[in-house]
Amino acid sequence: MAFADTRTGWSLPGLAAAIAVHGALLVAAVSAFAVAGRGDRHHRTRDVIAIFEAVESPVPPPPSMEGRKARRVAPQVRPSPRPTGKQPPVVADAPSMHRPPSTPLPLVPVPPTVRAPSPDVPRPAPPHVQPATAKADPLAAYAAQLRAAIMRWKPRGLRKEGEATVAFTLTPTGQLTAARIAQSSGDVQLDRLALRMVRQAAPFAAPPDDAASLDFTIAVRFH
Amino acid sequence: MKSRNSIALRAALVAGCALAPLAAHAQEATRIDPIDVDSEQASAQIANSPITGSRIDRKTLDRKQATTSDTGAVLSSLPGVSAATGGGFSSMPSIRGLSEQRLTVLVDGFAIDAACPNDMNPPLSYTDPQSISSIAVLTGVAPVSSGGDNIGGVISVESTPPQFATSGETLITGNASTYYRSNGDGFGGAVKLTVAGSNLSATYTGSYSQSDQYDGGDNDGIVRSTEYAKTDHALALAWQHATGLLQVKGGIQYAPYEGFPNQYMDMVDNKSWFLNASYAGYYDWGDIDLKAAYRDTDHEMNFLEDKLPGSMPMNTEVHSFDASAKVTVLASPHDTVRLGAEYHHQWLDDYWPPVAGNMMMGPNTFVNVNGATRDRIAGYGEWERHWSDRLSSIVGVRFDSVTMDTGDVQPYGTGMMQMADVQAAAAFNAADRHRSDGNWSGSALLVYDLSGNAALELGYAHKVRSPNIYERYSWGRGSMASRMIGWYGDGNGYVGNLDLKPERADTFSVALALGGEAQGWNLRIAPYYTRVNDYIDAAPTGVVFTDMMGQPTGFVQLQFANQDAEFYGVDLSGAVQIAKGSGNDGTQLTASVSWLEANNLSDGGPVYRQMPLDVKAGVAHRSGALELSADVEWVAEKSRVDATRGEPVTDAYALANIGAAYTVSGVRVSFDVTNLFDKGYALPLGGMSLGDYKATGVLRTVPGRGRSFNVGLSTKF
Repeated sequence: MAFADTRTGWSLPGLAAAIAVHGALLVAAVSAFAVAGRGDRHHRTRDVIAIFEAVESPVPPPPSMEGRKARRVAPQVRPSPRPTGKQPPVVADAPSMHRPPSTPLPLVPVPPTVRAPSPDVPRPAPPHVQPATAKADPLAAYAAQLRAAIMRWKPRGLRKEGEATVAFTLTPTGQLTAARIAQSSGDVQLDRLALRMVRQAAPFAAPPDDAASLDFTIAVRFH
Repeated sequence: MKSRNSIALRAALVAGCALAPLAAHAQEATRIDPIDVDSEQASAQIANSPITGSRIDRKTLDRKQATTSDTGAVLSSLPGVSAATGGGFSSMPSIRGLSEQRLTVLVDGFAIDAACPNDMNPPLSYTDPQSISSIAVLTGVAPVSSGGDNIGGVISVESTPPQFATSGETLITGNASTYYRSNGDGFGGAVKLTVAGSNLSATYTGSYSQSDQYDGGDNDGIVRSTEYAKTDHALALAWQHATGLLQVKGGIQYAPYEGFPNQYMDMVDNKSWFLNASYAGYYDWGDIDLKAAYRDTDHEMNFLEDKLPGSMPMNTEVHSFDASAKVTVLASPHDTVRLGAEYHHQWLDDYWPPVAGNMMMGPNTFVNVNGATRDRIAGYGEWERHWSDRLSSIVGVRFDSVTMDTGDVQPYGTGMMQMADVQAAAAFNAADRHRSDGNWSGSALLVYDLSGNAALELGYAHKVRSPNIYERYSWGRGSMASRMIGWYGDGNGYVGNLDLKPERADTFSVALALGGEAQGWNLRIAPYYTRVNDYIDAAPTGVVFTDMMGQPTGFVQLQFANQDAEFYGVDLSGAVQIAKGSGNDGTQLTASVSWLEANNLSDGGPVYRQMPLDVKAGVAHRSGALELSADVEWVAEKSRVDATRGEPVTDAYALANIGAAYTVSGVRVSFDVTNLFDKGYALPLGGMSLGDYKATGVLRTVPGRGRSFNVGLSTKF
């Protein structure tokens, strides 16, 4: 039967287009292997870090130059914590603690606040984090800052369970030099998302001068 | 320079590794408090349409799989979803009044093309409730990235995601199940077996289902042409490496027979095999998803025992190729951009071999569709923004280019009795059949968490669907030829229309969710309105079918036609936890109400096959290994009927089901009684019972299933 035999009905232009698109994306994917392997994310220029923070957000926003300046100028201003259901770990020097509770929700991007160092314009050494209180551990306070910065990049809409632990190392100026999976979730997607959170959050504020170690680990628990 | 740097870097890394133990000894890493990623809030879940979207999980399927082999029927438990009767495993789901190819139905992320003039093998017929991991259903506005060439909701059937060993030892896991149903002597079973290392995983899935004709309730007796048998087998391989996951899956389905109570034909053979591959890569900048699939389906229709004597072979062959790429870029902590491209190719051949010695069906092969192609190339862009921890939005635009063409056709012969088809074939062959549509679609979705226990979802979409191959290219105008076309179960004949335009739908959807798990109750209220311009309905050709005596049968010939239609309604659902024990123990009451009206604005009548008011209530109790459940469903009289098709009115009815299950030594034993009081009723979306008509000469609506005692066994290992 002539109508039912050899015709395959392939559309050559369509097939060619599909192969071309797949080829291009595969090249992009393969090249990203190398990119992902470098780990030196701190070279990336990050002109704009939009700061969006819900009034009831349990997450202190990430540190910024502005925040650090504010801390330096007015380290004594400490309004009482808001009575929200889930309280963040008490971090006395977290930037949000310096904002009165009545501060309206900022819904527009804040102008550039953090710039990566450029070869032409040396970045001034950022002021170091001040200890929350004379007795508080500055490293613990800094760790809480890192946590808040990493948490901003948490993925949304996932429906998977697992726990991945990321180990990473910073320079004395807060640049990320290495990040790796210390404890795998067994699921490459969750591992990669945990790693992505840390890499996207870099560069961080500079660690305290007297930090005993610049190596950190953080577990990300997906529910 | 670069290579020197690279060598230096490697040397440094090697040196670094050598010194690593010393470094570790010297200073210990600071442990930061863990981060929990839960995405419990509605606004965080916006990409899944959190309020109008639902998910049927494995636990629910565990409870349902012993009572039905029909995935479409399982979905009808969701508010806003109903199932139009097909074969025993081929019900066609309808979401908010829209069904068939108006919906996007994905199996493991891939669309499956129709391969039958009666739509006997819709996508869900290739799934089995025993081996599905979960089914996600978006009844409201679906983002354009979830699929194109549709104007309704999205159904996504998912197999178990690949599992990998985490302990260092080879992982061997799986499950097995079997069931028996008294009504129709149905039985079947399924096995899933996974063998995996930490990076490689192989999963075999197989199932078998079979049933004889079922009995209707009360005095309805046997419902003819409702028997079926099918088996599915698939092997899935997965490899996870440093940055992503590669999956390859191949499988076959073989269905040796499936009766269709509301069609003139039955399926007497359906063989389909597929091979698909996907790659998901996760990088610091975002994700990449690449997919490709090929499917080959050979479908044969003829008569099973209830429609004998006689013979009328009808064969359909379909080849489909599907490829897609999606890139998800994290533009900021609050912004995600998705860009995608899709290509879908369908080739379809539909021919009816001559019947020896039959004057009407010979001497030549009836060429119904000669190598038709339907190619779709699409691109889309979508922006998801989380304005705050409470407010999120997704807006997207897509373009689908659909190109169709088909070859010359021929009738069975050139005799006087075949003149209607002879003339129609000549006109069809003389016409330009190449068609090309450029379809723009867009969607916008907003989710706002009003408080910890209230969330609002607002959606608008403009979506466009091009006609399918049978809607455009069916051409036979003879009584018999046209009665072979159509997936409406109404006994009427259908003729295609080369001049059909794409359907264009505008949907407004609002949904409010109140309560939550912490409150022990929840309530969802979801009203909607959809207006479809150029809705593909049917208009009379003026031909009225007659019997051997020349008397009208009540069935008519219709031609697909663009008309306007509107759909509106509200879905309500809620649950109350009336007792809560430890773990999953507790007692829960659930209820849902779906109300819908649909009007054909061109002819002023109701749209065909719309579910009347449907009220469901249930109670489920769990205490340790014991599970108990009871459900009732009340469906109103269907009095809004489509006069064009002679749609029958159906009476109101109420059904009750009870069930109990006990898990002992890892084996779950279940016992259910469906239609406890053996209520006799007509399926509101069942259509005309043509199998019974052929056997008895008495025309009735398709009766619902009578009482059935169902036993199920399942275990995991």
